[in-house]
Amino acid sequence: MSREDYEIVIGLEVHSELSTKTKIFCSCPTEFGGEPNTHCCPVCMAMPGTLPVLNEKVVEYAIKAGLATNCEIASISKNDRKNYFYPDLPKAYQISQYDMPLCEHGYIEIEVNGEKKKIGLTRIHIEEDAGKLNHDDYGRGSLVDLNRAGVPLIEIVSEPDLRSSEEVDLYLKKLKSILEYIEVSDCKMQEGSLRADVNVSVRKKGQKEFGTRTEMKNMNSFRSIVRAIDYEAERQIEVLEDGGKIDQETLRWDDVSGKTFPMRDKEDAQDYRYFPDPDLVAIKISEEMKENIRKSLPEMPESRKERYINEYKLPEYDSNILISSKYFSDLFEGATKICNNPKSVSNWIMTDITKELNEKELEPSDIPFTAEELGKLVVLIDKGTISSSIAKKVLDEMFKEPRDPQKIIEEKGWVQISDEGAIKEIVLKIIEANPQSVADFKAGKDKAVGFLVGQAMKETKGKANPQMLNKMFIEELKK
Amino acid sequence: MLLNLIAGHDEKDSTSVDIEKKDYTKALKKDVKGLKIGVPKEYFGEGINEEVREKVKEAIKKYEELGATIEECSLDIADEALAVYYIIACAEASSNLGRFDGIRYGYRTKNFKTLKDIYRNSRSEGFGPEVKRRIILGTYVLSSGYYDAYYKKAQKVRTLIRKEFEKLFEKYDVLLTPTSPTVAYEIGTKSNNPLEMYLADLCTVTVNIAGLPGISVPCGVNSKGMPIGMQLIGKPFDEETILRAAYTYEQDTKFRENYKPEFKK
Repeated sequence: MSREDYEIVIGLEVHSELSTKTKIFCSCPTEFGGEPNTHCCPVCMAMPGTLPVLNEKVVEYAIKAGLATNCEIASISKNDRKNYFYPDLPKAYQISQYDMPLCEHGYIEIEVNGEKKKIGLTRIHIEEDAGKLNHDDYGRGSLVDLNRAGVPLIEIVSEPDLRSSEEVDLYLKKLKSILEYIEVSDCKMQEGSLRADVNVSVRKKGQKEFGTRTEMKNMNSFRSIVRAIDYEAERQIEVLEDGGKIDQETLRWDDVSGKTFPMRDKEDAQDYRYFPDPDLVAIKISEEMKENIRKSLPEMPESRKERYINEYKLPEYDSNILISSKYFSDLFEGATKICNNPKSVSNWIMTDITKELNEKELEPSDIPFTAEELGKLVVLIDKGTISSSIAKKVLDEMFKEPRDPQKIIEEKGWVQISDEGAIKEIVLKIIEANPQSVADFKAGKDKAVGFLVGQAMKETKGKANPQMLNKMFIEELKK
Repeated sequence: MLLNLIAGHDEKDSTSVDIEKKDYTKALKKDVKGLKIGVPKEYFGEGINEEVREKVKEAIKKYEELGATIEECSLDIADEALAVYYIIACAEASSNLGRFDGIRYGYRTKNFKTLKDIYRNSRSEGFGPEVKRRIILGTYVLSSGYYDAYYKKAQKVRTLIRKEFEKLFEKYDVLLTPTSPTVAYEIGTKSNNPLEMYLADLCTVTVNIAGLPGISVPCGVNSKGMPIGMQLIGKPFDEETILRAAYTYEQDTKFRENYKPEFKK
């Protein structure tokens, strides 16, 4: 048998930090960063005698996520305790949800090779994040930072509907974009706002039962997830082909070696002893509340895409890229409002801005300048104030130190030379300096104009208006 | 006065009910005329000390003289209430006490090499035998494979108990039982037998399970001069009625003025 005879089955549990102002059971800030143990209080430090009070916004955000992913929303839900000992978990239990999650039976649609595919969502539930251990580099011990303890999370559990690392990548990108659109999470991977546990198994094609799965926990980069799935599936197929058996176990993905390793021995199998948290009461969700949240949902990516194609006459290709991130989409709409040139804005986002982000390994949410500033940049090009090559330099500046592009070109003296007298002066100077090209032109080689324009641009450091140069060179040479 | 202070909604406690506050001092009136008192017979049978039974029955007579209507009734899940209480209380305790792990506060063992040592030794050395017993019991009833048989079943029975009480309160304003099956034991005599200790809570844990207000009122002493109490149980949030009933009895018998306790060493 060969690799092609196997099918890969993947299910994901995605944890996403919600962007509420305060924590899930107390009023400490959820803000990332901050000196260790400065965003905590007796409640999230689990002092004896303290009690949790559920943050209503957390329920609202989770329901938003549920509605945006086609889930059924529960009318009655509750919080349960998941008991285990770890130093980053100050109560020795995590308040989560066990058998009555807020949202169930949803799906997310992805497009695989031009075909739409629904990925089922088992459930979405709310829970609290744990703190963080800062391990001392010299092995003297670990320090507990409880700033993150009690930050609200939603866990989005998918059905085992994914069949390749490519599908997983599409699913995660779609999920991330949905969470960004409905503004419940900022999904900053490097800050750990989006993390996934990945379950992988393989089975022979046509086989009905699932194979034994392994789980890779706490992965926080899409690229690592894709690599880990490919490696793990390959490993499992090899084991099976050699007549071996897959152990159900938790694995750790090592990004450096590109391999998975068993994380803890199986004898340690945890019994979390889930039970309803007696300190909290049932969560009741009225039809009215569901309806209000449904109404508050913003325009979703699919509908924006339609609009871009119909209203702005953008190609589908452009529209897909723009809606892939809420930040792109908002940037596009904001800038277009200013300059009324959708295609140009779209081009800037798809080429130069994307290139800059990729080079610096940034995400669309990290774009430092505003939509208004980008719009103004396009206006400056359209009015002929600057050339597009100067515009690229302005964009670089906007990434470094965001400010009004008009100010940037003034400060740097990058205003395009569009004055006829000034252009003519340059043209004459270049013609005089390049007699060979003049001779070529006269001999019928039209290409020579291009060379001369290039020389003129070089002379003016890109500031001369290229169309005017072109026109004037031809006029002068024909004289 | 204390009740007046602690009553009402606490925004930092989600389980506290948000209803209007009352002035309970106004309930302190001498009047039980027409008050319907139910006496569950299960609390006067086996396991209840003879002298305790007698004194509580005398108190019942007193209420009758004062104008209350007395009727015997049945609460046949009284026994289950004790089991339910110990399952739920221990389960919650086992989880609540997890935070005493020697990491942030409280006792930490000096004797450790690994994280597991810190947990195991701090908790083994720091907790007393009764606490350990309850943690072990509570962990057991929550364990996978046992949860349904113990914890979940206990919660179901708890609902049944509440419904039983609801039925009784359709007929009665107040229920009357002994406070404890026996008088207080002498210091150090019983602590070796935890089960017997648990049985002492037979009469009082029910109100906690059912979510009802209860009050204990002294109603006499036994032959050795040890005090005996009766318990009045009211409808949910109807503290006023049991306060009124207790006040009426107390003002009539003046127990406190006639009782001279003798402290043994």
